[in-house]
Amino acid sequence: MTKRTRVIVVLSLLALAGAFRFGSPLLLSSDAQASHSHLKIDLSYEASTHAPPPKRVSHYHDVEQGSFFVKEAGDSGYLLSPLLHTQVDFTVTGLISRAVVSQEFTNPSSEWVNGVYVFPLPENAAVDHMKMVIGERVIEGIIKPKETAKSLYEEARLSGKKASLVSQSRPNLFTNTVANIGPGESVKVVIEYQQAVHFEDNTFSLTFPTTITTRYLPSQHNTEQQVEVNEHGWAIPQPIYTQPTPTNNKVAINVALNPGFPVASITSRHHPITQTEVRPNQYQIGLEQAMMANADFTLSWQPQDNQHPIAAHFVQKTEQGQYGMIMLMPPTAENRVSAIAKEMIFVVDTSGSMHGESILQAKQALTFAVNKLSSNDTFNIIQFNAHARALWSESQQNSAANRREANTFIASLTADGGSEIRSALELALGRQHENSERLRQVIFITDGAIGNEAELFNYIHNNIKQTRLFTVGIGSAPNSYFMTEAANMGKGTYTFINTQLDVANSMQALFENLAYPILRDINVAFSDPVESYPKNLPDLYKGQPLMISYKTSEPVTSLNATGYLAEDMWQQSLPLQKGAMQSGLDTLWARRKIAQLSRNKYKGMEASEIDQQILEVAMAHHLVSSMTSLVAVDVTPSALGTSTDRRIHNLTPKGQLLGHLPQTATPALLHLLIAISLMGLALCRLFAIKNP
Amino acid sequence: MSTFRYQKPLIIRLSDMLWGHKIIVCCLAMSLYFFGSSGYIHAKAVLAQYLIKDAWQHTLQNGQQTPPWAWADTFPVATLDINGERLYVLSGATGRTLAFAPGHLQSTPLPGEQGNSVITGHRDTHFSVLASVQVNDVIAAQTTEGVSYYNVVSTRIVDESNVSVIQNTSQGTLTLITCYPFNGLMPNTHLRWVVSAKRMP
Repeated sequence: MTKRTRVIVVLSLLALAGAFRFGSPLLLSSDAQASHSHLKIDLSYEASTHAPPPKRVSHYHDVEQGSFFVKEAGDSGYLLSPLLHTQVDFTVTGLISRAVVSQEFTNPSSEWVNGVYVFPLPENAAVDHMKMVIGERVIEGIIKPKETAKSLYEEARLSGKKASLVSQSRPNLFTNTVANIGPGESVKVVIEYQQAVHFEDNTFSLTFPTTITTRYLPSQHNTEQQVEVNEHGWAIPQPIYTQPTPTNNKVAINVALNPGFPVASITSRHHPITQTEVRPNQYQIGLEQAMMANADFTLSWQPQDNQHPIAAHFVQKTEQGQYGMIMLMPPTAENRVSAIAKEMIFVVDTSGSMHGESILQAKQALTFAVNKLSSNDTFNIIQFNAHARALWSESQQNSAANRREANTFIASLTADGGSEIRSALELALGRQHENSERLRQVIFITDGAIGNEAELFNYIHNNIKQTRLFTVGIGSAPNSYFMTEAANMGKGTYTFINTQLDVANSMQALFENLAYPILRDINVAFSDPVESYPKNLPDLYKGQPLMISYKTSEPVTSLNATGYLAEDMWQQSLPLQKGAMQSGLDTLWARRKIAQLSRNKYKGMEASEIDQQILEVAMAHHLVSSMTSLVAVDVTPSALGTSTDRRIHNLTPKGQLLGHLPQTATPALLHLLIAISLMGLALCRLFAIKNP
Repeated sequence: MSTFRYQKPLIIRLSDMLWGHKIIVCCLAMSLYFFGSSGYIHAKAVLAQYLIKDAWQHTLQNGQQTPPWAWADTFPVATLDINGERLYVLSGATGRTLAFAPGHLQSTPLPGEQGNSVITGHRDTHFSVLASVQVNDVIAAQTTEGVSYYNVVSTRIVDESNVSVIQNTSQGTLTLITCYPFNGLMPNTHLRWVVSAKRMP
């Protein structure tokens, strides 16, 4: 009798323990740590899910639908895409990089087709040259106003002639359409562009983006920016598609580096490279193997320790006048400036496009940032997906308790849903105290998968006031045009983090910048009249140079730059009689002028007038822009009938998870079976003891 | 007088007895754990449907997205009537959502709209009902826009990498996905049971 009660007591104790084990997370989840414990409940599922399900933005009627799918032709199903080979050759001279991108479209099918390829380029790239190579023949592309170019292309396509059209859908996104590729035939299209090399912290760098983050266009965007609606009704030009055989889009890269000074080291952050010094101070760099087009290529090089440049001047003489480029390095002043009291607002993107590696990087970056705050700072965190939510309604002191609360908040972030950047900006910029003593800095961490840039720029421009805006790009393919321009408006900087290994380094560098704004309210005066860009010069931070492009009819003698270095007035003059000859400065100047003109648009100037100015500059300098396209048309018709459209798929950026159906099984049955067999075992044992 | 017999305290006796039957106790404890775990999965699946039902009623009345419980990051988007069983569907097909209800794949349209709506569910809880679905069965799907009826045109087994089943279609299609085989023990199966239904005019 007593034994039986004992057994019952033991069993009920165990049952209680079990109930507590499962019940406790549920009870806990109603408090602040909700999502934390929430995750724990499902641990058994998470463990059994080896590939998380594809997760995208919340409004199904937005971008997503275009993403998975290949272009459909009537009811005949899905088409194969033409094969594509890309070869990029860079020539870097001084501060200018010229790139030649060759793309070979091969048609493996037995029909005549038209190829459509959407490709990203650096946001400051100036595309000025295109040629089409058909067998032995080379056809040079000519610059035309966008509409004219399009109708020339259409005309050629309908009459069965080979034609190629390069147009700009966004400042960093170009479309190349090639008409009438015959069965088994190849057409090579060569595009040339140039850009200024990035220089910061004594490091020069060059980026070649290879794929695009799917952009999210919010449901109620109401702007007049140019969007092209395709026949399925979607205004997103590039579908992302999971490639069953991902070997199709490969990129080969070669760089001829001629910096003009001895180089201490050349590194590529994400792809293994080979390098040889062909002549003194001239280097040849190649990829060890052709890379997959799913992560941006970044090459950086550093001058030797005693060779750090403090200023540079390059000139180009043309028939239209003299073009120049100036680089000026402000003095370092760390020891003079003490850290200023700051209010820091961290804004983190937790939308569906951040799912995968991106959100992990963002969380790491945030944790790093929160723990790096100095004790007299105040801070707040805003997360946004389909809605924006702030951790606190007001920024809080950097106390241990607040830091703990922030860390819990960060740990609970998951990526899901749409990305309404605007509502996050409203939280971050909308409510500013008028006369705050503190320097207000907003750090915006996102992959910039945004389609309604113009509307956002407009909002930022009208509401930024004295706030400084810093953008941190996350993931393999952030929209660096949006990031750079937004930071530009907020007189801040853009930091790019590609892999998780980079997080600490990049954030450390950013934080050093944030603590010490070196030079602000910069003004530049030339001795002679010049037309220089950019117009409003950004604040400079540690390790950043001042970069100016100018055009003049008469040679300039000198330049005088002024600004504030902490509380002191700073002034420096630079003689400009000397300068190394360099080509391509006119193109660079024109590209910067166009960038300035588009910026003026957000400042409420007459759009049609600005468009006219952009058209004039672009036509004069042979540039692809929002108003102009490059078009090449073959003289002889080759196709007999009309060809069908095919689209080349961009690979999904690394880290975004597509391509598996959701995991839809639970371990319930397995656990039940284990439970029954263990129970059986226990009973057998019990009987064996009872009846020895 | 000497009837007093020293008796060890209860806690000592208890531990002696537990130690004497340590194997049995261990087996029983683990057995209970797994019973609990298995029961918990089912309990969560069944009980959550009641909460979601309330949220859905609320959504139907005032048209707002209502999370079924305060800290939920999802909301009901539709109901499905399959072979006399009513299921409340949540938005999002993540592991977290599927524990409570079938999940609507957010990248696809909702039932009743143009295109291919995809709903996934666990084979051993909500979507165990799919095992009995046959061609020509009628599935009713209700969203805030109204009720639409679908006619099952095929049931098939595909590999998990076959994302073509969630590709968009030009007609109104409802695709229900769950793991296969239905009575499989291992949760990491590579096969999926796919029910395709065409919208009835």
